[in-house]
Amino acid sequence: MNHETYKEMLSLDALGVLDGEDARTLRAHLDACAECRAEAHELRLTASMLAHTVAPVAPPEHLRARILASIETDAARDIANANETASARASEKSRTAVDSPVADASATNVLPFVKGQNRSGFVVGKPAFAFGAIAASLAIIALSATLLTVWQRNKEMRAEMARLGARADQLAARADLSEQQLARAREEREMLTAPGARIVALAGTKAAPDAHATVAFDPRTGSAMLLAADLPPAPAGKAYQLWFIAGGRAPMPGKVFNTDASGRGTLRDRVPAEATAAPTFAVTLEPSGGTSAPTSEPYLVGKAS
Amino acid sequence: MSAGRELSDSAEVALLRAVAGGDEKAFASLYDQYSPILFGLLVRILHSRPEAEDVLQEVFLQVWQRAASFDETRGRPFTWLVTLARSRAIDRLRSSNARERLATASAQGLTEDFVDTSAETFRAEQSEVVQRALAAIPEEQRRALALAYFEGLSQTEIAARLQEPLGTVKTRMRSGMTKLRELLRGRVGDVLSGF
Repeated sequence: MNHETYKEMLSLDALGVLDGEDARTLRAHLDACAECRAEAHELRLTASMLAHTVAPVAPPEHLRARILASIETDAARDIANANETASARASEKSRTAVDSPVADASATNVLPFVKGQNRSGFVVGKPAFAFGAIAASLAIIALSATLLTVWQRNKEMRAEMARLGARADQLAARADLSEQQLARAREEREMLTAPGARIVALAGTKAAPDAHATVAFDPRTGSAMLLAADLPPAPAGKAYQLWFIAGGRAPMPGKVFNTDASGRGTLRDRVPAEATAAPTFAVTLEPSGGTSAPTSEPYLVGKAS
Repeated sequence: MSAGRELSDSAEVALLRAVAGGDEKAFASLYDQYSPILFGLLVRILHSRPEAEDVLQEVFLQVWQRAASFDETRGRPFTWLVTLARSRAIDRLRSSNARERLATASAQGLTEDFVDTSAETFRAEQSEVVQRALAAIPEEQRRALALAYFEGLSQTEIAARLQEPLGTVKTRMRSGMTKLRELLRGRVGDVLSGF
């Protein structure tokens, strides 16, 4: 095709009506031809002006609230990430000044304590303060270790959440998905972005030290989603089962699920009303049909705090 | 504030930059500013308010996540937002049975032209300009443009709908676009700014 043929295609491209093959060859031409690129741009602007012919319609107020709430969830994550970066940078700086196991642990979260230590101004060379200083250092180390664990878990949960969100996005993006699958992906996304949605990290036990999982649930509806990873493959005739434990009652059975070749499993379930306040989630290995009471050691456990 | 009054280009750009920087208040302003026109567009394309609500949420989430990728040298924020909303809506249309609803609506003669003076008295200044430009081009060209822009049909499908040869339909759309571009250029200098 020559330049003139492509030029004729530009209006149709701007309206988005070119058939697939034509659209593809035109893209290639546009990459190479500045003149057509400029004209394509102008024609797309022209096409976008057509939107002005539509009468504006005020969307419902509840939609505004929903959209603003969903970006707040998103923003909280961004802020958390930014803080991590900032404190990592600062801790890098302070490391040379403070030669302690805390700084060596390369924990990015130790910064507030290090700062506090500097501000409190331990007076060097006054023995009376030495014991206090040692005690304070020990306290700092102990606190930092705790904080490191909490921070680590928090980071993992955020990564899981991002992965869940990305998965929902991928699902929504695949044009060949059935309506039902799309509806489910939307539901998952809504659950993750619902105000008050909670994320719980499940850790692997002795039975599966490498396994880990995340449960996202909406305490108002009980709607829950489990994403597990690095579980050993279930033997034939067996499957994993989710349990809800709360208020001193016997574990309440959830659904069963299987893992794929890489040890990943997903499950949608509903947290029983009695357990939505502060449930503990556990996963055991059971007969593939599931049981009403657990028969194995838990493989994964996590408590909503 | 009236629903669709336009911000100046530089104010639009500043707002979008603030959104890119994570400013939630700016995001709320952007939403208040553009949601009526985008929602109107989505309802027009999808013929369903629930679907339009869904897509509006997707569009604004995308705006929140990708505002930083907006390039002001390549067009106005308005163009960016409209293009985003339209392509999401058309994707949705093509992947769902919304097509069937659309066929019904079209059979009832509800959707095939731009000119709808009955329902809404409000018209932003630029809307006036575009309406006048469209009124100045032949009706069959205008109809072809409307089918292309709002219905998400391919050129072949448009030809089938209009029961005209494909070549004729292509010519109409090309002529319509060329005229529209010239008219908009002549009427308002800033409508087609950015190149």
